[in-house]
This record gives sequence, structure tokens and C-alpha cells, in this order.
Amino acid sequence: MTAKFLNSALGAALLLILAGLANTCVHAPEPIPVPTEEVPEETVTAPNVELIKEPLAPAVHSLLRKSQAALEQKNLEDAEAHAERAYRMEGRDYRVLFMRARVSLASGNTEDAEQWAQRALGSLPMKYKEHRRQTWEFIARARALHGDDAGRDAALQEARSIR
Amino acid sequence: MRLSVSRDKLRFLLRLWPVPVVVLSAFCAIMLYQMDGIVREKFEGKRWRLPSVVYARPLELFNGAPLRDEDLEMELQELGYFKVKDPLQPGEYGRNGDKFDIQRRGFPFWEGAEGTTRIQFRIVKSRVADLMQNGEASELSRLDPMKIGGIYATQKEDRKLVQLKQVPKYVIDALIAIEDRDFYDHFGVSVKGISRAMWTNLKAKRWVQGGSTLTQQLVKNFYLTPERSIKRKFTEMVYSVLLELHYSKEEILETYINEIYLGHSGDNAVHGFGLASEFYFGRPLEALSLDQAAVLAAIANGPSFYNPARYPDRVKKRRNKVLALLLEDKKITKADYEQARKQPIKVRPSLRWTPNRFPSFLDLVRRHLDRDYQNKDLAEEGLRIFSTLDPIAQVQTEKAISDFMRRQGKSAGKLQVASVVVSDSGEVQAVVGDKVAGFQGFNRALDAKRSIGSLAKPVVLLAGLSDPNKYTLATHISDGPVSIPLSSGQVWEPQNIDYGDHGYVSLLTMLTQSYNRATVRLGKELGMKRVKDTFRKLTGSSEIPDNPSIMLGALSMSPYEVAGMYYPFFSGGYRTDLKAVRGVQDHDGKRIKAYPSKSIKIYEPSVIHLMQYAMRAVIFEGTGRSAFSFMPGDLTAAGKTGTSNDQRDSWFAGFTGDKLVVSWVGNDANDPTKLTGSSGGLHVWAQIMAKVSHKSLALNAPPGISYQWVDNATGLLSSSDCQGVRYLPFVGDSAPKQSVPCPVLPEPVSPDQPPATTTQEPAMLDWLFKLMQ
Repeated sequence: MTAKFLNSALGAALLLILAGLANTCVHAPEPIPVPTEEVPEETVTAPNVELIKEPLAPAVHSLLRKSQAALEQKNLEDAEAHAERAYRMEGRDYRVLFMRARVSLASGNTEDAEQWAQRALGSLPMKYKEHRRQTWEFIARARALHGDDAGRDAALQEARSIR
Repeated sequence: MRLSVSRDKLRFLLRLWPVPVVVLSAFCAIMLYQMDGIVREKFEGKRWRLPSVVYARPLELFNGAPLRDEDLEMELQELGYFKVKDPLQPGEYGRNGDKFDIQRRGFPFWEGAEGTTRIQFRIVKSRVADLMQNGEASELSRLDPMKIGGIYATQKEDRKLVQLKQVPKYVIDALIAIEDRDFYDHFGVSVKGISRAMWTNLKAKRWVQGGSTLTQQLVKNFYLTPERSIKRKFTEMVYSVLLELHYSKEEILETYINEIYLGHSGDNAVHGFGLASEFYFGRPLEALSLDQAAVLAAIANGPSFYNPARYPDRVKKRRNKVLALLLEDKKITKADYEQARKQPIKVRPSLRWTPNRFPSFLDLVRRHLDRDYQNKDLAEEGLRIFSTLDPIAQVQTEKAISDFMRRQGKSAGKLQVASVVVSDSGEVQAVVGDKVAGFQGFNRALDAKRSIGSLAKPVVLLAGLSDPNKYTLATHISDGPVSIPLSSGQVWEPQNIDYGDHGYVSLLTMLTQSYNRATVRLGKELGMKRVKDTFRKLTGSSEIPDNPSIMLGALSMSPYEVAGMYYPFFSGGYRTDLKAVRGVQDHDGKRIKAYPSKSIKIYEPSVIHLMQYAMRAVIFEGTGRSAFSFMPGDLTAAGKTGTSNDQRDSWFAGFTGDKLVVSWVGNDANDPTKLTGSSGGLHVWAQIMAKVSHKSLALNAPPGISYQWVDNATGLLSSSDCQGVRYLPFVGDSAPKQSVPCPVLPEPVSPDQPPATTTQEPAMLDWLFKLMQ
């Protein structure tokens, strides 16, 4: 009982004294900039990577599917995270590199998108002509979004030259 | 009269009695006001400076993934997994022959949090097979990543914050039972507790028990210094009452559970039950068993005295006391009590969870983060940093260096070594900056800028091959005397290492045999501007000395910088900023900054294909031949030796299909070492590569490459039926148009008459290559 009385009395006194005390200062981390760029719409046919028959670990396929699903839901952070994981496991496959290109383009990083697509082209066996043509069309689109009209025309020319 | 004066004075003084009372009260009020401010400020503000935690990469598991069983066991041990016969709890694993059964702990991975998972698989021929996850066939799984270090403020305190709702009830019950049984009844100070402690101490005739409540203990750790004095004890009591006035028992308990000091790991103090649970038992607090919870409660009284690794019997005695109190308070059943009492005191096999196990790598992480974060944020905000370190590659690199140094015997004395391992995605997987693993000091891998010697020759060759209409690997060039006038008025006349003249040699031979004069002649033909531009493109640096001697490597670079310069050779023409960090999460596991891979195409893959061909030949038939003394014969690699003047620096930089490794051997005083690139750097490199690489370099011809049989002596087209020919790649239609009939007899050597040469380059490799194609 005595303890509770003491407790209440001390509390009441302190309430008076402490009225108006300023809030303590809390150090907050710097705000993280959030990208606000609008995601450009796809306007060209994406190459059907399922038609590529080169061997690829099922684990990498699984990550590409996850990345694709996240991309469709416009969840670009997840799409990038899954595509990056796939890239770390298999960094020289067209399907992986092209997925990185798509994620970059969806994120508005047109220059990165072109670089990834160029690298994808370098990993694509010559026999996949349709994929090659569509990848050049993808590069044309990336250049167009970047405002490089001459580059776009050159890429389209490359695409048309593939027979 | 005197008496009347004295009475008046006394009456006057008596009338003033309220003054000292008011002054004293005001003083007390001010003191209380100040103390209350302190109590609230710290409790409501940021309670702890949380160091950032750096994680290694999580080990990816999928069918076909390269993994040696001894590497896996090493990683599991370092992660603090218990090896048991039948793994049931998170943090346990079992092995039966080639079969592994792991109860993987839950972890908030970068791609998303994953709960506790049972992972089973086999390791067959150093590859993962039959992967199962939670009893079902799985395509992909992974281990939780190893904690490799932290970034601290001045005090090295580690803690993992937990919320009260995450803490199992019996952990709280055990703590209260042993430390403060009246916790829910007192107001910060327990008169009953103090009386009980005094009685116990009197009976024992020594100090065996303190009467501090959990609130007082929290105040002592949280607000006050360890000093023992009456004044401090009084302050502690006032703070405790103030704390109880403002905050609920739950808030106080949660803070206590996160604040309490529970042990030491190296230089770092382990604070809080969340971290202590992982530190001692290798499992999250939520997964602790009753006996383990009782051990933590036992340790709380004195982590040094009750160190479970050192004094298991002492800890067992106190643990059993905790269990008895829990039974007495009816918090556990008799059966629980009996079961828990039977358990031995078992903590992680190795409590050497060293916060800075790989200092050279952490140094790189720190430099990476310094670009985007202030020191204060790194040391106080509890960021979670996902690095690219591969502990297996790091440990194997350390071992290879240690083996190399042992073989040097007495001459090892002043020798130093540094190495960097990079993956094909441009992630730095291992950094060793000293011959002694774990040395915290001068990081030679990043900071020792040394003359790169012949590592520069591929750069000069690339400058030439970038103009395929003029230069191919079959192009012949004189290795005769060459001179270049310098801006100082002097004339530079480089010599070959054997002071010989090798006549006209192909550009391929120039590189494989590392001929100085042929290289300088090529550079002279190309012009300094093109050579410098090539250096700039490869390194991304504009600070290239304007001196012709850079063609023979008279420029200083660190092993890390060389790795960056060689990455385009490895990647097929793409430059990247090597990265050590994948991403940063805040303390709650929210992604705040990703570092995605980026690369820029700086050379056509076709041109780099020629470089890879030539650098592969360095290892098969040139100055890098001795690599196969250490590497398996079926591991195809490419690279280049480098030796600086007077053999002060011995380098090797090269790559396979999945790893780029750069190794440097030298000494800090820059004295001659008696080692060439072939006997120093190459040996270290080959030993590292033998352990970390699992994929041969595949020379798949990219678009725009055609192979032709070429006569070695003339550099003209020939046929596979002839002797002295090799199958060489050419960019576009740059192959020679003229052909020579077979056989061709070598002409006498004459440096003045191109393109004769006596060099008969081995064609065996080419036949094999053609067969493979």
C-alpha cells in the first residue's frame, strides 16, 4: 500500500514538473529517393525465350519465371531482384541477359536496357534469327525512348537485315 | 536586554523556516525534472546505436550446383549449425555419406523473407543432386548467409532487436524467475527484494545476492556508468521509479531483453537475448528450447562467470536453479522440468563468430558504402548489408596463399601476397590483402599500387586487334631493336628479358612468349594515343601516364584495379564497376538501396574472342605453362604473366569460365624478389583457381568470327594437312587472302625481311580445338 501511495504521489508531482517538456530529438535516416518515372509501355514483340532450346538449369528458369511474374505485376524491385539472382547463377545465357534488359527498360533505364540486350545478342547462337531480329527491335525501342532517333533507325536496319 | 535581542533573532529565524524548505524543494524538483528528461529522452528516442551488419552471399543450392562436401561443412560450421544425427530444430544439420539434411533457419533474404526450411540433397562428384525442400523435390534453395562483420561506432556492441511478442513465454518466465520474481508488483524498486537479498547475504556472511529489480538493472546498463557508489545507487533508484511511472512493464521488459549484456565475441559485446540466442545456440530466439532459455536466463547474472563454453558445470547448476524456480512458480510442468534438467549444456561448437573475419573484404565493402552513406548511419542505423563475399572462395584463397608461402621456405621472409577473386557477373568474391589470413592492416589488394609489368601487353595487343583490317593474330612483327624518343630528349630502347632478338614473330607469339620489343614496336606503330585510349577504356580511368613505357607495364595499379582492367577480357568485351555490395536493407528488412549489375560494351565480342584465344595460348604454350602443376589439366584458362623491373613484382591475371583471379607477389620495400610472374604470381593464381573455379573457359566463336588454318612461318592461309600450321580466329574477313602451298620451309631469320620466322607454334591445341568444335 505504502509503495503504491508513494508511487502515485511522486507521479502527480512529476506530472506538474514535466508538463511542457519538449520531445526528444530523434535522428532519422536520410529519405530514400523513389523513382517516379513512368514505366513505358511495351510496343514490340518480345522474343519467346521458351523457343530457345539451349540447356539452362531449372533453377535459373524458375527465377526467370518469378522475374517475369513480378514484371507483369509492375513490381520492378522484385523483378530486378529475381533477374539479378538468375544472372549471378548463369551470366552468359541469352534468356537471362534479355530478362535483365526487359527489367531495365521497364524501370526506365534505357541505356542499361540496351547494354543488356547487346550482351544478350552476344550470347545468342546464330541459328535463332527471329530472336536476334526481335532483340534488335528491342534495342531500337530502347534507343527511341532515350531520344536517339538515328540509333533507333540503325537498330531497325539491323533487325530488317536479318534473314 | 540581550535576552530580548536574542529572542527577536530567534523568532525572526523561525519565521524564515519555509525558505530552506522551499529552496530544497525547488532544488529537488529541478533535479527530478532533469532526471526525468534524461529518462524519457533516451527511452523514447533511439535507444541503441545499432551497428550495420554485413552478410556474405547466401549459398545457392540447386541440382548441378558445384559444391564440395568439405566446403559445405565449413560453411555450415561457420554459420553455427549443429551437426546432429537427426536434425529437427532450425540451425541443425546431419550428414549420412553423401546425403545432407539441413534445418535451414529462417532469414529475411534480399529477394524476400523465407521461414525455417528443411533442405535435403546429395553431393555427387562435387555437385548438388536430388535437392528436396520440406520433403518435396525442389529446383532452388539456399542457406542463410554468414554474418561476416559489422560497422560500429566507438563501442563495439552487437545486438539483434526483438519484440516482446517474439520472445517465447518461458524465456520471459525464466528471466523473471531468477532475476526479479516481483517484477510485475513493484514500482521500480522492490523493498521485498532488497530485504530478501540482505537476509540471504547475512546468512551467507558474504555478498551473494543483489536486490536490484530488472528495472534497476536496465537503468544501470542503459543510463549509468558501472561505478559503485551510494550516489549512483540512489540515482539508479530514482531513475527506476521514473521509468516505471512513464512506461509499462512490457515496454521495460522488452528494453531489458534487448539491452542486457550476455557475453563477448572477440572484441565485440553480445547484447540482448535475440543475438545471444544465435550466438550461443545458432538458432533464433523463437526456436529456443526450455533448457536453452533457462541457460540464457542463467547467463544474464554474469556472462563471464557463467560462460557456458568455459564453465558448463557452473552454468548447469544455475540453469537447474532457474528450472526449479519455474517449477515452483508453476510455470512449467514436472515433466518439462525433468526433461529440461536432463539436457547437457551444449553451445555452438565454435564461438569464434568473429565480427571481422575477413578484414580485407570488409575494407572493400566499407569503401563501397562510403560513396552513399555517412559513417554515422552505417554505425548507428542497424543497416543490413548484403555483400558479394563467397566465404568458400575467400577461405580457399587464404589457404592457397598460405600454401604458397610455406613452399617458399626461408625466402618467404619479406614476401607479401595479395589476391582478388571476381565472378563472371562482376562480383568480388574474395579479397586477400596480406600473407596472413585475417590480418587487419595495410590492404595490399586495394592499396598496394605496383608496376604491372607484362600484364600491360594484352592491352597493347588489343589496341592492335581492334583494327582487324590491319592486325590479326597471324600478323608478323619484328622483335628486333626498337627505340622511341622521349620528351626528355632521351631515347628509350627496351630489351627482351633474355636480351635476345626473336626475329619476326606473330602477334600471337609476341603475347604468349611475352616479347618486349615486338610489343613496343606494335605500340609504336599504333601510336601512344591509341594505346592510352585502350588503357582508358579498360580501366575507366583517365589517369594514364603519357609515357611509352606503359606498353611494358610501367604504370602502378593495385590487384583490385588490375581485376577491373582484365574484366572485359573475361566478360567478352564488357566493362563493369566491380561490386562488393548487392544491396542494403534497413533494420526492419526493407530494401533501401539496390546495387544491380551494370556493364558497358567497350569492345566487340569478336575482338575479345581473339584476345581470349591468345591469352589461353599463354597458359597452354607460353609463359603460363606451369599453371598446370597446380590446376587440373581439364580446366581451361586464359591469362597473362607480369614481372616488373628487377623482379620486384610478380603478377598473374587470368580467368576460366566462371572466375577471374588476380594475384600479386612482392614485398613492401619494393626490393627484388627473385620471382618472375611465372614462378610467383602464377603459382598463387593457379592454386586459387584450382579450388575456386568449376567451369572451363569455353571459346565459343561469337558472330563475326571465322577460323582458318594459317601457316605459322608466313602468316598466310594454309591447310590442316600441313605441318607448322594452326587454326586461328579472324574477325570478319580479316583472314589472309593469300595462301601458301604445303609444306613451307622456314626462311633464314632476318629481322629486316618480313615476314619470315623460325617459330614453329604447336598446332596440337588447334587440332584439339577444332575437334571440340
